[in-house]
Amino acid sequence: MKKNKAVAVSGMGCLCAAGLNVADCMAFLFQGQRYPAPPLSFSGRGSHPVFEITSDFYVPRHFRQKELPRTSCLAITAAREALADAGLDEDYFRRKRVGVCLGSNVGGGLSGTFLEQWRIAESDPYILPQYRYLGGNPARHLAAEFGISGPVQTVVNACSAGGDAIGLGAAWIRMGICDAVIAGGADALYEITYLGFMSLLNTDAKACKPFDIRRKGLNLGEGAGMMLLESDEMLAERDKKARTYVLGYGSAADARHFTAPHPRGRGLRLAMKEAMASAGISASDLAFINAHGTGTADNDRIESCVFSEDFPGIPFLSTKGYTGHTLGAAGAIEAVFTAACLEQGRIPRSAGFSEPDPELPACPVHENREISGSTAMSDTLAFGGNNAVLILGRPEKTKGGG
Amino acid sequence: MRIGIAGIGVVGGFGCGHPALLRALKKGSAETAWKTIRTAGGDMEVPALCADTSALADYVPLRTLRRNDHYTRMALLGSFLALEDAKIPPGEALHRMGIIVATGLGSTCNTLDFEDIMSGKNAVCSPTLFSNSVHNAAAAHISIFLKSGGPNLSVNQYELSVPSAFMTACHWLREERTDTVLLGGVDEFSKVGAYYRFNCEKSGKSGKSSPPVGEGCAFFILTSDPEKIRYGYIEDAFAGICPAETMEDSGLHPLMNGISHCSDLWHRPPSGVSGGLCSTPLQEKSGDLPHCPVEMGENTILMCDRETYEKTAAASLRIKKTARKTDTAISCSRLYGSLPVAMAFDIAAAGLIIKEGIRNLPADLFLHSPGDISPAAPVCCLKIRENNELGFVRLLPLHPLFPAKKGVKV
Repeated sequence: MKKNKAVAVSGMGCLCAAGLNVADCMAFLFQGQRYPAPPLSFSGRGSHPVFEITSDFYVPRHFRQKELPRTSCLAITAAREALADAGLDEDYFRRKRVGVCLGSNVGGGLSGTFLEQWRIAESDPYILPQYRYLGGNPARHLAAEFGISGPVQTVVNACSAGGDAIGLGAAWIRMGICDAVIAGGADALYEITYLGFMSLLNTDAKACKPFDIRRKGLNLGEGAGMMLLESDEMLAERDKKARTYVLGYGSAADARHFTAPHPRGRGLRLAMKEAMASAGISASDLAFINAHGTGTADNDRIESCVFSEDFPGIPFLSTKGYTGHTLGAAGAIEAVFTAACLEQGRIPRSAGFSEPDPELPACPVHENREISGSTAMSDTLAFGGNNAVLILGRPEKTKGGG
Repeated sequence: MRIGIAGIGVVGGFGCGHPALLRALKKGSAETAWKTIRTAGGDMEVPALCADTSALADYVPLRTLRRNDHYTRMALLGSFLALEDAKIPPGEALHRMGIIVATGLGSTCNTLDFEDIMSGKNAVCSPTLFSNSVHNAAAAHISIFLKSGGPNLSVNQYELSVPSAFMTACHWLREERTDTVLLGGVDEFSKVGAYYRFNCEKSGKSGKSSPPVGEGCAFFILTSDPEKIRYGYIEDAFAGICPAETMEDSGLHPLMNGISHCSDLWHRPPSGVSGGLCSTPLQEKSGDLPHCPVEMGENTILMCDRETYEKTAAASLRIKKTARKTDTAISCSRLYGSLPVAMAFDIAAAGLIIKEGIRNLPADLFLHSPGDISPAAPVCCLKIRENNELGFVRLLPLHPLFPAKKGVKV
């Protein structure tokens, strides 16, 4: 495994139950608040709480595309924030080779909404709208919204999709295929996932408690996180500086069980090893780790063991206590949080954690704290045994300079 | 670095394994079956090209497959066949192998089985059904059965899923993330697609000659090891949006006419655009292609469906003011049916044409006028969708003028 060139991140966007933009989300995290509640969008299906976005975040008249699946609306809203954050002029942007690499739990239109329409359509022979739904795609919708030209890819690696999309998009910049890439993840909350996770007995009937002894499972959430990745040449042409860098990316499969992580975290360790090697850093360079930390018994135990053995003393946290598990968006939202925490030089307390589990060799931070260092790791584990790891921060030689 | 195909594993309406696809290719047809789909208006019989996965028992004990649905079984069988064809024993050094699965629909049948839950008929959701409905189920089960701990990726981009997967596979190999990539496209029979097709035909919106809905998978072993490449080199792969100016100003004929022209399309900046598009690094491409020893412009083989062909023909007519007459355009969709990952089968067919040195195909497979196939002809597998969205994978033949160990870097 070789060291890769760092890829600049010039803009970030994010929305989830913690807030409708990056600044609001960060403020919310450090206030230590959270408001999980039974789902409003499909009430009556269950009482297990979720982290739902209850505000009208998508105002159709502000966008080119008026009727889109909710996942695409989330993706576009976060991407618009990222582009504004990067200070990009849309006409300039359209003249560049811009790619879209988006992670989502379900890439196409097979959502609850679609299924409902299919059911209705069975009595109506004209099902073209449903067929269009099948062809619908959040990455394509994102590209269409901003009128861009370049490679487009929708990654459906379940819960690691958002992190994978950022890592794959960074390669497009590194290889000279694109001047810029909108990369991240998005997922709306919908009924199938909600009922499905409940069937797996993986959800907590109360607010989730990652790494806590009383943890009973996850709470689902929804949202999107986006990063604008940009080539050094384009940044120089615009006379802009990077907010942060994608320094490393690694991914690996557990190759053992479909719904349970490897008991020794084999895939996670392999992914971390690749990410660290591609960033050219060692464990001691990390200021903190943003864990996957879902609040399920197995996930938290594996991560705690891996952190304890391979990253002793490095502080870690889970932000899912504030956002819920946003599935395909999680890796991207948490990458944005990781970068923003590095900028602020502090990390929030791991919400839901109060009582250590004696079986876990390492515990997350239980109060907001300052951190030192310019590099951090964000990891995600997924259904099917997928693991994705991002290293974010500033490369050694550009420290302080951007 | 040259990347090529070392093994192929296919399962579809034509049968199981590449010998079955080769037979269908030479015959020009596959046997259509009938499938029943349930609708509110009663059951309806629709023509279909369906895949039989019983041969999976040759590779794994059936008891280990009890929780795997048809969608995953197709993918597993395709993977085993591709590995076998590439002479890679399962379990051998697979930690340096990446896995990429492209799917247009995912595990559609499983997902649609949630109808009962959605409509309140069944309040309890099956955990196995839910697990298998996740889009990365096939890729995950392949990694589990093969014990392959390398990078694992699932791509879902409807009809552009396959070129998108090839694009990433080439990046992984070029960046040396992996030594080998097991890449496949898989889609299950879609009752929504069949229902749509049935109604289109009933209302006269599509011709009776359009292929039935198909299902199956086509898997490939991609490598940069020149000793192992047997089915051609991957010259380039791309999935995304083409600049509108390029589509309007240049038309689509460069894609048809060959690599040197393609390079114009993707590298010569159209007016107002700062660079072309290509999934390979610009420096590598621009430095190599001018030295390309063969003029490939006039004998490129296009493999696509009729819809894409008509779009390219219309563009050619509009731009060049004349219809093309020299291009060889082939559609093999009657062999495997209509499905979002059709391009995977096109690439498999192209690989077989290259490996077997096939010069003639049945006239029914030609979209234009039938003609001989040049053994040195590159193949462009192409899909064009609406709004300037397109994907392609270009293969170069194994030809003395394209030596594996030296010569042009692609």
